[in-house]
Amino acid sequence: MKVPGIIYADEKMIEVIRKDQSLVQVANVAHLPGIVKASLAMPDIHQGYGFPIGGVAGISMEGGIISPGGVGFDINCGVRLLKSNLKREIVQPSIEDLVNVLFLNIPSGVGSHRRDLKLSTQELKKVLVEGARWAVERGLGDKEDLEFTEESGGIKGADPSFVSEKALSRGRDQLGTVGSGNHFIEIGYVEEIYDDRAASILGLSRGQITVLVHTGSRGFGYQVCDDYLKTLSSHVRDIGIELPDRQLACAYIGSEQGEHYFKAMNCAVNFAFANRQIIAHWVRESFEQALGMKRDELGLTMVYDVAHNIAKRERHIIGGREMELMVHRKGATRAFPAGHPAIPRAYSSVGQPVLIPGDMGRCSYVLIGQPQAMAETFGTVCHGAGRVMSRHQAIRTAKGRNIGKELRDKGIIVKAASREGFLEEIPEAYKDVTDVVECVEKAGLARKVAKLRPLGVVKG
Amino acid sequence: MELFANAGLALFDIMTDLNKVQERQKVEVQAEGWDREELLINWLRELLDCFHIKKLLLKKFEMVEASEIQVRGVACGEPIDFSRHIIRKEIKGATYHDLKVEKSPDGWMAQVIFDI
Repeated sequence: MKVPGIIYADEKMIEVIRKDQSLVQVANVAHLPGIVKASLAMPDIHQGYGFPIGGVAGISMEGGIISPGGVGFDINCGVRLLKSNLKREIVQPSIEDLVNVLFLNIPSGVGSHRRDLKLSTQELKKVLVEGARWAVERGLGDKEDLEFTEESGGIKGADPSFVSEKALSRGRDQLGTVGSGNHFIEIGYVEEIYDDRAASILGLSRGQITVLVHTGSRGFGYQVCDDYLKTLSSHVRDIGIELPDRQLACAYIGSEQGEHYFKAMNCAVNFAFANRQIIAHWVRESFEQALGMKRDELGLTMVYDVAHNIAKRERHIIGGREMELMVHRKGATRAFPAGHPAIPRAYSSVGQPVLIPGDMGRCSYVLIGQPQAMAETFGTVCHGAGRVMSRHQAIRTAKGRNIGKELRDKGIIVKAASREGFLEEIPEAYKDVTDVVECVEKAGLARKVAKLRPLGVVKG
Repeated sequence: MELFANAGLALFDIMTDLNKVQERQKVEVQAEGWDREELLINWLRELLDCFHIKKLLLKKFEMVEASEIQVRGVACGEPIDFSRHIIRKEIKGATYHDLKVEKSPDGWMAQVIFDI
């Protein structure tokens, strides 16, 4: 190992973490050329492919590598949070209608897509360069949405000439789709506020209706990752890098292969930003339709949109000197503090919002980044709850139970595109996100602003 | 050769009920790899392209050629029809995680973790 492994967890969590291969994976990442400070893991860590999910690695631009496994298959899987002018009491009686309309209007599940969004290859390539701005310029959102999206919804350095025809084919029909697995659209409300000043700046208040959108770059990003895993898997043999795990396949940053992956990855980053932008637009339309209210009355506006599978060039202080690093966040969220130039000006006095979705039965959190995160974790925190059960185990646990009724009894309506997909996502399949968030807060990396409770969920 | 045919069958069998898939279309599939594991993963990648990009479900695999570094076969199936075919589990990709291709007393054995 070139650097130590550091896991942020409490005693109860570490016992769960020991049960899968995540700790071995943290150690494997510590072997990568150019890694600085430590191979880091957040409290929601669980086993992934190569890198653990919940893993963070800062890699020097000089002599260091970039690795698709350190980003994940679902490039720029991330979360968008919308707030509204609506209160829980007004919306709750109509929640079933709202969920049904969302389910009809926004494709989720295998093979679904809207016929009114058909892209030529040329147009798709524009999406890959422009990101969410492509959507806004076509009337699928407001300009203000971009201001409150990480990288303004369009990261620089995307070049579609390094994306395969396969990836383009897979992506063409999937823009504006939620996908399956743990992706969702969730209508909720603010149950608790922990920091009145920060909440006020973010525009959050008790009882307020919110919408969370969790999705990424779909089959497009998946194919980009797989294409480069294949290429870089033979590349590492050619350049003599020995890896403890093939899924850590990589290339030196700045090399031809490293640059190609970086430019292709950025295309997938922009695909995902555009995806969440379009879905958010259709969420707004669905609310108008279901509640019979006008856009201004609804006031569904951005809190923030943040990535949790990405590799970014950032400057950080290491050992007292500023270094440029390729920060790999796989199932980990950027959490920059107050005053950082990369965060929206409106939030400059308080810090970057960090959106941490929990499972569909419990809650989610809004945090703000703290200076301690910059000092210790390259300005990074957790991304969610983290699975504790495999999908098969979850289905077995759900056998004989009426999960839909259990959630309805808690006041939560869920509509899923597939029964299996729904059962795989039962609340017990996940760690309690509250434990994960408490751990991150106790470590000083981020601070809680609000807790959100689900009312209605649409899943793939 | 049988290993690769069975791996293809297993892949599509996980995704759907192959009894509902008819043999209406043939497609030639080939792959290369610098070792057996890479060869198997690349074979499965080609089959997944048939699913994700050509939108086909495949149920019968006839291997034409197999060496240490190359395989070629003809697969038979039909285009996905969501009115007849239920995709119970979408396989997004084949990973290198815990990948094994080994000879055992009973013959060749492969282990692949699919991402779903």
